Amino acid sequence: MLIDRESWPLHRNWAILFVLGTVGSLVWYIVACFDAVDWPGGSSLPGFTFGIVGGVIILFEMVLWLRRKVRTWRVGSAQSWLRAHIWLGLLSLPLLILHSGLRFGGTLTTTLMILFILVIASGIWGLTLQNLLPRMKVDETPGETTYVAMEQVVGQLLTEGDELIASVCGAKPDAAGEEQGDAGVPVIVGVGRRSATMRPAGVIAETEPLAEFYREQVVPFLREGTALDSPLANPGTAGVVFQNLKARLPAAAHDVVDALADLCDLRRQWDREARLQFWLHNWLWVHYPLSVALVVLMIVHVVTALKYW
Amino acid sequence: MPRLALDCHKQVDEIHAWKERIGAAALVVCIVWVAANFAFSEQRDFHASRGPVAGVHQMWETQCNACHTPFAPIRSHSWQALFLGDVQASSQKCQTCHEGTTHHAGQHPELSCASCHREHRGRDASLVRLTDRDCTQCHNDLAGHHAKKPAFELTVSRFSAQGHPEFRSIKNDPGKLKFNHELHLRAGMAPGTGGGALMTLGKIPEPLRKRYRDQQSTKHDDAPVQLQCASCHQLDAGDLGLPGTRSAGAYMLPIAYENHCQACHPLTIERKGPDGLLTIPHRLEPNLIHDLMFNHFTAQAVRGQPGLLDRKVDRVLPGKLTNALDTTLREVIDKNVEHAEKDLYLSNRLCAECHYFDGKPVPQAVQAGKRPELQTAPTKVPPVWLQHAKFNHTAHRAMECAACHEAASRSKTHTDVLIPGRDNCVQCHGPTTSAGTPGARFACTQCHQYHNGDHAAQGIGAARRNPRAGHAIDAWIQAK
Repeated sequence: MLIDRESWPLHRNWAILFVLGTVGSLVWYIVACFDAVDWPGGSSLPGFTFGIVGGVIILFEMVLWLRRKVRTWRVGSAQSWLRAHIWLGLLSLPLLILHSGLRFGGTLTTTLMILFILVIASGIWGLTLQNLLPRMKVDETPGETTYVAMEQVVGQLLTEGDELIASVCGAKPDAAGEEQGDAGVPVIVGVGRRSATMRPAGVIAETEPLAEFYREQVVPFLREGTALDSPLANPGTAGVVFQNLKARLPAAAHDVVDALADLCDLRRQWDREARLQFWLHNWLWVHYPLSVALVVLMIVHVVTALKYW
Repeated sequence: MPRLALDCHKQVDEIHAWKERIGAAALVVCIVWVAANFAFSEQRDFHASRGPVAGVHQMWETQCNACHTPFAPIRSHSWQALFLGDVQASSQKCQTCHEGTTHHAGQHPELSCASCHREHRGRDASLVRLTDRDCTQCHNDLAGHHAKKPAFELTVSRFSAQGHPEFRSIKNDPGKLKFNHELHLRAGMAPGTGGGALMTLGKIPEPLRKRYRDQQSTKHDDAPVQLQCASCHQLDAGDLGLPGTRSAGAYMLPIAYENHCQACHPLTIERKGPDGLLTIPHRLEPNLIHDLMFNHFTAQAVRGQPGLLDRKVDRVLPGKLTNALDTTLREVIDKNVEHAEKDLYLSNRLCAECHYFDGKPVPQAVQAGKRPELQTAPTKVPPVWLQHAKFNHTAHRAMECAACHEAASRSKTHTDVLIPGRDNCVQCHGPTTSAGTPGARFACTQCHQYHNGDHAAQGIGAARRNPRAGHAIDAWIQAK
């Protein structure tokens, strides 16, 4: 979720709620301190209230998971839920710190507080990444595709490469793209590129080096991407390699070489996109399971705290 | 151009798939841990503790029910006490070991133990060193927290010149024992311009002389005796070599004639006779002293006329006076006794030097042949002056005595109260200020004890604090 100047009007009310909630709870707590012999904890009236509100917020935060599971659920847009998730989650931090009476307490409450802080910290980390990485994706991967369909579109790249080489060299090199599955009716999305649009006039003579280069260098790279120790993994060395290839081919085949270079460039972008996607979402590996643990232990805490006021 | 399947959005990528797997694992681990803890652990609620209990209670650290009554607030101050359970139920558990006493019968609200004694604050936390707030919540407005009009200061906000009243127990000296501090602190107790012999070390009987010699720099027998404060005021810490184990020396031992006066003030009556001096035991009342002296002088008279022992004894008929010889000897004896009694009660040298007497005025009370109609007035010197607070002399031993009792060296009468008051204490005990208060501890509990607090010299071993019944070891361990 982006929080920037453009989207700020959508966040403003939530931010005001967060500030008012924080300041209001602080004021109430400070007033209660004047009448207490110790930092008011969870059993004090403000502490108990903060605990109730904080607990309800935590439960609400978990409902976001349910909201995403049931996308047809007509209870506000996913964006609205996410905004509420962010700002209420932030509000729960001061509330539950005040609820704790500024103490970690025993084993359970210490565990709860550590979990809670980790959940909040991972959430803030995730929010930060989600504000930075999408911009990097736009800048660095203009050929961005859908991450979940990455395997499928890589197969399509191979198919396009195979067809191009076959049309120029006169025969399919190894039918490399056949196994990748050319799924049904194609849907055309994304930026245009030469491999998909160029239509070579026909077979070009003396293009054996091209077919060999495609088979030995390009196909493995398109399959494995930058994980492969290939000169094509680096834009600089790839440029040199393709220049050398052109020098060994007739001028009529140079456009085909450029089209292959485009395919390799696209493969590099998708690898980059995959890495950015990984960092864009891997914080959830911390945020989500710790949230689950937090809710379970919070329930235990509520029961035992009520038992031993 | 890339071509995507229409249903690709339904696919779950690996990142989110792993998120779900880890989340499910976390859920299972937590539920299993909680269930296992509940099912198998005898200390299932222990993990819910808000912190370690104090060292004195660590034996019951894992037995929440030893102190808590489930679903009942343990502190009277809890707002939920208005709605839930019996607040005093947990206090009753405390009182199986700590009987305590009621602070004031008319106080309200009646506080539960945990209202002031807050637990779960760590092994080394003190349960009795309370915050001032615990006390001032009532004492800052005592009228509002007492069923009747309280006989105490109505507003005490903190220990300071403004917030705390002067110590009540030093308003006057209830003592009935004559003493001149100024004279006794003079070298040789020089009686002033009127003359009089100096008290020298040589005049002190030999067995007691060493003690006084050791206290002063000039040690020869002609040296005047120079008393220090500590010559008489000694801590209850074994300095006197008295039998038995002594306490840590919080308070001064009561002044005892035998320990502190006798060396210079022997109770000897000097009457000529074959038996020489008669020493009167201390603490005898005048009528018993009369009998003692009568017996002494009778024996002396008999020994002075040995023929009396060989004289035939006349039969004494009922209602008939004894013969003239007895009457004559009695006159001698009675005269000796009368002289001795006047020495004791009128001379300002023996008993009357220190004591007051109840009964008839002394001149009329002492008559020949009669027991004096006198009783020694109780001395009533308070063994502990600050009766509603505790004080520890040992904690203040770095100070010189005069730092607090500076008037002692000028005091000529026992009616002077030489115990320092509040203003003396606040010189050190108060918050650190730029004005120079050094910031010694000044919390209420520094001096006051809540339970049994009107007995300053009684510690936690006082019988009033004992539990109602003792415990067997097993019951004790299991907090039953």
